[in-house]
Parts: sequence; C-alpha cells; structure tokens
Amino acid sequence: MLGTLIKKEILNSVFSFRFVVIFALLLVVVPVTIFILTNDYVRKVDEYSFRQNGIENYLKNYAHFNRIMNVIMPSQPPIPFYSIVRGISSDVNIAKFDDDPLPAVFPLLDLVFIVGILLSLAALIFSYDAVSGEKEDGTLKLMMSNCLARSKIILGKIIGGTLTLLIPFVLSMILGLFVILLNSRVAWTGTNWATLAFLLLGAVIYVFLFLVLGVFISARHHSSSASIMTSLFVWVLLILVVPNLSPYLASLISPAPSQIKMEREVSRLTDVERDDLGRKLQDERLREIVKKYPVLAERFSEAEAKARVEKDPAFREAYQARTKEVDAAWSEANRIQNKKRDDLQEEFNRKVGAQTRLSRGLSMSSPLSDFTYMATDLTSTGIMNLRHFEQIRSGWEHTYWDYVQGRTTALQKQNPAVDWSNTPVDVSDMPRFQYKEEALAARAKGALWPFAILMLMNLIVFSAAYISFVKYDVR
Amino acid sequence: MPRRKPVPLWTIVRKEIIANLLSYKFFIVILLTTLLLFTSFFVLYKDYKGRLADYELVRAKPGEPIAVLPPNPLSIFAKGLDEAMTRSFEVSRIGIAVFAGQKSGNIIFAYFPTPDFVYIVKVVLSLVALLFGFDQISREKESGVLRLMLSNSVSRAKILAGKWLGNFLSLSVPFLLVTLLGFALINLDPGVSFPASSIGRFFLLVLTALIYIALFLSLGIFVSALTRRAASSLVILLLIWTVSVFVVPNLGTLVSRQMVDVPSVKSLSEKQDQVWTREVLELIMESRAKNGRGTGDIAKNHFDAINRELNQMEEDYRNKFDRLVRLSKNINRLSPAASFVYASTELAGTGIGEESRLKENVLRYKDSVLPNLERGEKQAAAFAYRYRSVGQVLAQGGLFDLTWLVFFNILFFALGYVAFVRYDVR
Amino acid sequence: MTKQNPILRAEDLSKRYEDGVLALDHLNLDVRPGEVYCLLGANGAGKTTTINLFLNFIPPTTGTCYIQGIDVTKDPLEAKKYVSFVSENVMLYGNFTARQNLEFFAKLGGKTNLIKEQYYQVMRRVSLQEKAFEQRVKTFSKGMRQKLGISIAIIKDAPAVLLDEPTAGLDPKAAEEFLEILGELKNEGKAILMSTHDIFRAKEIGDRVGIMKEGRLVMERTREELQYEDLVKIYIDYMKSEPLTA
Repeated sequence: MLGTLIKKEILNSVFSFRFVVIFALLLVVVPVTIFILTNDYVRKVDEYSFRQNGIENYLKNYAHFNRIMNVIMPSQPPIPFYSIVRGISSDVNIAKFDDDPLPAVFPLLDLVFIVGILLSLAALIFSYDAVSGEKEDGTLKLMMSNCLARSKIILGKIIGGTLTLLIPFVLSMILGLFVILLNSRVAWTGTNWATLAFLLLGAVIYVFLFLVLGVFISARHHSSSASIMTSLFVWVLLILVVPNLSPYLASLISPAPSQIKMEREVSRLTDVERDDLGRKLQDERLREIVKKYPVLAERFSEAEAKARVEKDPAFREAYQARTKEVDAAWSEANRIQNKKRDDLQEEFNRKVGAQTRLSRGLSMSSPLSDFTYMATDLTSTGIMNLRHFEQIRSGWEHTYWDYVQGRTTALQKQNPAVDWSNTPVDVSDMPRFQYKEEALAARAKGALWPFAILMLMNLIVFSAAYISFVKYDVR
Repeated sequence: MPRRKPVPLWTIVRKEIIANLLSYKFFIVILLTTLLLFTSFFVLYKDYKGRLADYELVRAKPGEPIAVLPPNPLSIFAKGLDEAMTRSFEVSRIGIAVFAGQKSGNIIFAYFPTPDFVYIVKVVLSLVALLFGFDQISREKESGVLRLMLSNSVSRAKILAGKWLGNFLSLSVPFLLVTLLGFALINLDPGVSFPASSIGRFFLLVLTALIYIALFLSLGIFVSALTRRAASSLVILLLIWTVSVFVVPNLGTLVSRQMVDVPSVKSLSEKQDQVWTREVLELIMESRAKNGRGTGDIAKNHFDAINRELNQMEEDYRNKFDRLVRLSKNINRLSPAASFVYASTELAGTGIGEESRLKENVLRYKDSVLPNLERGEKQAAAFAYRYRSVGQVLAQGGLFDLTWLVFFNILFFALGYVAFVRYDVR
Repeated sequence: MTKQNPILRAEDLSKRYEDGVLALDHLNLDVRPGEVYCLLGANGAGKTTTINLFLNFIPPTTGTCYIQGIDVTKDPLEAKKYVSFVSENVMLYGNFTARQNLEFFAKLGGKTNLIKEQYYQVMRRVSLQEKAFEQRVKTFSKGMRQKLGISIAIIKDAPAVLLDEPTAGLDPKAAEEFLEILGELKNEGKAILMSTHDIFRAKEIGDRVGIMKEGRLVMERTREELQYEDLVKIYIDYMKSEPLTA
C-alpha cells in the first residue's frame, strides 16, 4: 500500500510543471557551477605552483636568515574540493593594501549555496501543498474513504516527495561530477570521494528537512495559497535572515574588542608604558646601588665612563654592577609588561572565542548554517581547516627555527664575528612547509555536531508533521 | 441619454488595496518586512557605533602619515565595502602598511552576507513584490472576478494600471513607513550625525529600492498574465527570482575571473615581500662592502627601487583588477539585483567604485608625503578624502544602473500589458 | 446477512462543532442493501456532516455510525473497507490520466491485481468517452471528472456507497447518466446514501427520501408514499415551518 502511495506521489510530481522547472534549473546550474569552479581551481593550482617557484627562486638567490620569514610565509594550497565547495577562503587578506572586495559584494556560487538556497526552496515548492492541495482537490477525502491509515499517507508523501526531489539533484550532480572526472587536472583520491559521499548524505538530510517542513506547514493550513505564504515566510527567516543576523546579535550579547583596539593596547603596553616602568625601576635600583658605590653618584657621560672603566678597576666594578642593575630593571619591566600583554591577549582571545562560539551557536538554529558548517568542515574549507592550517603552520615554524638555530651555530662556529642574519646562505636543505589535509575521520568528527542538529531538527519537524496530519481536518 | 462617466482608476486601486489589507499574505509580508527592517537597522546601527568608537582610537593624530576614514553613517543601510574602506593605511618609507581596522576576530561574519537594508530589499522585498504580483490575473480569473470586471465599461489598461498601482501602494507604503521611522529613530542619537548630503543620498537610496521593488511587482503581474494558474506563475517567478538574485550575480563574478587574468592578492603580497626583502639584503651587503661610507645614497637607491617595483606591481594589479570589476559588473547587470546593489552602494558611498577611488587617493597621498618622510621629517600633511558627490556617482555608472532598473520596469510593465490584453479571460 | 439488515446505520447521531453549532441532532437512519436513500435539505442542514461522520472524517459528539455492522469510530479502517465514496466536485490528480487515477484509487480500495482492460470496462460502464481514458484529468470537464469519480466507487465494489452532492453542477444529460449508473448499483444490491439538492432526481431515484433541517431529519417518505404526494410542496413547507421540537 505504501508503495502505491509513493508511486503516486512520484508520478504526480514528475509530470508537474514545477518539477520540469526545477529540473531544468538544476540541470543547468549545477554542472555550469562545477565547471567554472573546477576551472577556477585549476587556475589556483597553477598560480600556487607559480608562487612556490617564485619563492624557491628567491631562496636560491637571496636566502638569508633575517627577513626570509616574510618570504616563506606558508600559505594554503588549493584544495581539490574547491570544485564544489568554496567555504570561507583563507586567501582573503584584509591586512594588505590590495584586497579583493568582490566576494564581499556577491558571495561565490558553489554547491553549498545551490543546495542551501536553491534546493531548500525547491523542496518547499514541492511540498507546500502536499496536504492542503489534496484537500482543495478533494482527493484527500477520497483517499481517506478507504481502508488506509493516515500515517501511511503522510509517509508516502514524505518518501515520495524526497525521491522525486532527488531525481533532479542526483542527475545534475552526476553531470557535475563528470565535469570533475573528465578534467585531467583534477585527480580526486578515494578519500575525496568518500568525503563527497558524506557531503551528499548531509545534503539529502538537509533537503529532506525542508521537504518535511513543507509537509508540516501544509498540514497546518487548509488552502495551498496560505501554505505557500507561510512556507516562504519560514524559508526567508531560516535561510536568509537567521544566519546573517547571528554574528551581529552575538556581538551585541557577548562583545569583544576589535582587533585594532587590541593592537593599540598591546603597543601601548609594550612601548610607552614599558618605557615608563623601565625608567622607574631603573631609578629605584640606581638609588640603591649609589648607596653601595658612592662613586656612581657623579655625573658622567657614556664616553667618560668608558674611559674610566679602562683605567680605574674600582670604578669598573661599580660600573659593571650598575649595568647589571640597569639590565635587571629593564628585563623586569619587559617581564611585567609582556605578562600584561599576554594576559590581555588571552583575554582578547577568550572574548573573541566566546563571541565566535555564540555566533556559531545562534546561527545553528538555521539549517542552512548547520549544512554550511558541515559541508565546509568536511571539505577542509571551513573554520576547522583554518585551525588545522594554523596548527601545521606553527609546527613547521618550530622545525624551521630549529633549523635556523642549527645553521647559525654552525656559521658562528666557523666565524664568531659573523653577521649571521644577513649572510647569504644555501637553504636547499631547509624544511619546506607541507600542507597535509586533515584526516577524514577528524573532519567527519567536526561535522558531527551540525549533522546531529540537522537530524534533531528532522526528528522534531517530522513528528510535528505527523501529529498535524493525524489531527488534520479533512473536511 | 446622459453619458455614463467612465470608471475612475481610483476605484480599482482602492479595491486592490482593501483586498490586500484583509489578506493573510499581507499580514505575513508586513510582519516579515517590519521585523526584518527594524532588526537590521538596530543591529547595523550598533555595529556602526562600535566601529565609530574604534575609529576614535585609531584616527590619525596631527602630523601622522596615516589615512583612515571614519565609518560612513550610511553604512547602516548599505554596508557595502565600508569595512575595507575604514581600514587604517599607514604610510612609511617602505610602502603602505594596512591595519585591519574596525574588524572583529569573529570568523562567523565571513560566512554569511551582511543583513543590511540593501540586502533585505535585494532579497526579501523582491520576493515580497513577486508574492504581491504572482496571482493578480490568474487568481481573479480562477474566481471569475475578472470576467465580472471586464463586463463593465472599463478598459483592460485601466484594470492593469489599477492593479499595479494598488499593489504598489499596499507594498510600498508600509515599507516606506518602516524605513523612514527607522531612519528617524537612528537620527535621534546625537552620536550618529548624517550630514545634509547624506540625507539626500538616503532618500535616493530609498527611491532606488522602490524602483527595484516596482520592477519585481511588474514582473509578477506579467508572469501572472502569461499563466492560467497561480501555482505555475509562482513557480516561474521563484525560478526567475533565484536566478536573478542569487545565481547570476554570484556566478558572474566567477565567470569574469575566468576571462581576466588577475593575480591573487596572496601572490601580489608574496611578490612585494620578496622585492623588499631582497632590496634590504642588497642594501646591507653593499653598505658592508663599502664599510659604511655613503650608506645614505645606497639606502636611497634601494628604497627607490622598492618603491618603483612595488608601484609598478601595484599599478599592474590595479589595472587588471579594474578590468575585472568592469567586466563582472557588466555581466552581473544581466540581473537587476546586481544593478540595484551597485546603484545603492555607490549612492551610499560604500560601493566598489568608491573603494577603488579611495585607494587611488591613498596612493596619491603616499606619493605626496613620501618625500617628507625620506627627509626624515616627522610631520606629514593630513589625509583628506571627500566622497564623490551624488552627481559624480550618477555620472560614473549610477545613472546607468538606475536607468537600467527603470528600463526593466517599463519592459515588464509593457510585456504585462501586452499579455493582459491578449489574456483569455474565460 | 439477510436482506433486511441495514448496511449503513446511524444511531442517535449528534455532532456539535467546536464553535458550538449543533450540526446534527440525534439522527437515526438506516440504509439497506439495494436501497437508495436520498438526504434532502438546504445548505448547512447537516447532510454533509452525516456523510463525514460515516467516513469518520469527524468524530461524533454522541451516537454511533455502523457500516456493515462495524462501529466506524471504533474501527474506522475496517469499516471503510465496506464503503466507497463519491464527493462533490472532486478534482482528482490533474497530472494523471483517467486510468492512472482509477488505478491508484482501486489499489487504495484493495483491488491490486486488475489489468488495464478492467479499468477500461469500468470507465466504459460510466460512459466516459474512449479517447479520454488515457488523457490527463486536468483537461476534463466537470461531468467527466464526476463520471471518473463514480467509476472509482464502482471499482472498489463495496456494499455501501456514500455520495455527497454528486450531481451538483452537472448538466441534465450528465446527471441523467449519473443516475442510471446509480440505479445499476442499486440493482447490484448496494446500499446507497446520497445527499442532494435535487428534489426531482431524489424522487426519481430514491427508495426513501429524508428531509433535513437544522441537523434533524424532519420528514421521511418512501417511494410508494411519494407516488401520491408532491415532494416539492412538502419540501418547501418544511423549509418554511419552524422545526419540530423533539
């Protein structure tokens, strides 16, 4: 019986106008987007290797240990998933004069966008009149005049609707994946395909949620024109409003200072305030030392002092003691101020972290955000990858500094007076930065939370749809 | 026999408005619009205040060679690139150092577009306008009212005009009220001062929004006059809406990147780092070889070389980037949503054109203060930037976008008229 | 089951809606096999409510409906096996052909293994044009849809048939054809309960005719009684008069 109902849903939708329209849209948009994104990815790969060559060339000719760090700053290589998901790009570099403002005006189109916006809308278009429409057409009464449980009708509707919606999505995805397969420059590994499978599973769950939501809304209304209004209202709120407002709301609830404020504060602590403190500590210590070495009470210039140190051993002792005190005073000042700076930094990081978590949490009330986080974290294009990148970057930095230390001690052994930082060196044996994608298991673990929330939402909406339909007044 | 007076247009307009006021659709739509606009105004007003407070911290002290703009109060309505424009550009001998400025470390901001007035109009109000238009003809046909109306001596043109006007009024009046109320409330805060010209710009912005909304209403009526059933008309309209609001502008930028070969920012900054690291190294080597004699000249030579090469790269990049912007603008203009975004952000002074002009000015400023810095003078002239006047904005593309929007309006209305005249009312 | 046992039976049936309206007031009614019972009455008299109660679309406030002796409220699914339903102005699935619609509802009615020809036979029986069999229903006229609706009821072959204003909006020829089919069903021994506005056809087809007013059955006549009485006059008289207080 359920099979009959599902078959009816599918057949009835497949011959409908909306199905044709959505099919056509997806069949064009998905492959075209993947095609363009793949080309863009290939360009990124080319540019990346060109940039790496530039760096290698530079290292061959001008390597030295002073400012080389600026040149070999690690950067994120293009990820094969750029063919389908763009995520938050770590390339955006607002700290440089030349930035690229275009993505800020119009975000890039990718699979997350297509699934998140187009498919969720398509799901609602398919299901907004699932119940109210059949009521209007009188077929609901006719169905219910048979020996047929309501639960079967609603299950048939939901399953049939999902299968119908999957037809255009799967077909257009297959076309799109052909674009990736046929491009010889894009070589996906088994793990990549496994990731894609997870991603598609998430997409299906996401689309299913909206389909059930549409059924739920239609089971709350008695006319399809009212249920489309409510559906679109809910859709606009969930998709276009909640995610966008969340970070702004979070910044109101849990404020964090801006970066520039932080920078100013740090430079004040380690600059002006440190100098004041250093001078104060120095004066205190010098007052003490003068008591011990009265000779230091005299005023003398740096040059005079140097001359006297040469001649007068007693003065030398006093002067050395004084230098020691001065050094101690300044290192004390540095220690105190650096501690303050670190505390401040920690406080800042804590606040920003709290705000970020709150934004993420608030936005997760929208399925779109959940899907976005899930998709970007799965494909190494989200926050998790930024963290992961930072981790391997700092790991590399440690090995780099070890390497530099080893090389400079070797240089100093050869010639103690060498200006090691500005001497050309051969760095062909320098450890190069290697980006390694996070393991699939770790990525999947990161995507678990948003996935779980999507599942929970599904459960809630499904129960709501079920209850509403069981109570639906079919008259 | 006295001639019967023709049915006045106002009768039809009034009927439309009253029919709307009583509908569930109207209730939902007004709820949505009011809620969204007020939330958006509040949230972005707070955001502006925060950035203004930060600006007070970073603003250039007299004599500092720093170019930093205060946040633009109109960014409350059209944020555009205001965050990029209010970064602090600090000029030194080795170029322009940029500080991220009034930007938070919260990465979630990067995920979703800013929910400002422009966004809400672009996405939500266009949808709302379609919802007002989608069943205008087909619903009345289905319920038989259309035949009843046409059985009187009233022309189809008048019915269409009445419908358009009635729906436009029932849509735009609440929208205008909410917007103006929001604007007035923000004006109550003495901390936010809109200069006189800003108020003019704001009203132009609202006007642009109205033209944009009207366009979607006309489109809705047009498609409704093409289809027999309201449901089909809605599906077609939602298709057009998603394509023009989401697909075309977002894909257009990508497509134009395929055609114009612009290096990435990362690649540019890597090259710049290489140039000046190399020059500094050579400077040190050479001055060491000369035992410290004549280092001033050597330094000057190398700094000049850095500046020369960096400027060259900069110019090259800017040229290519301008080409990219022009191309992507023209591709995106296929969609009225893009035209609307361009027109409104440029009017507010937060658009791509304004940002690139600001950067040119910063570069010019750098060239003007650089000699002072080289002479070791501590004092530099202050940076001053005047936003383009409304006239300039209109001349540099704004008027084109507005005309383009008006053209879409006329086109859709005319098509709607033709379709309605040929509509089979049976 | 003897011929005397009613297939459709309403006992002391009342329905009060949430808004307080008493739509049905202690109705007692039965329909036997091979009998057509017509419910007449103005809009809101309680005819459709009666049918809705028989189909368990709404729960009764008091009383019980029995179909084939099964309490509809207690075991609705079992009861619905023995009833088919023709509703007023059903749109059906516009994207399906006539045959597909018929097939779908036949399956819901438990007839799963029918072949195409059997569907065609039923459609021929309700005199739907041959060329319409494989046409999308959205192109159908009201009369054609109603014919398809009754073929759905025929194919289920249930002992009871409920019809809610089946002839509303049909042209005279279509209505005549419709009643012919109803007559055939009656001859097959079905118990038929039909609500209608159409006094003439009620008199023509009905073995018994009941007039409802404000939720009550105010009059009942058999075919024999009606031969000597003017139903129109009775109807109008009852509509004018105050309802009897029971």
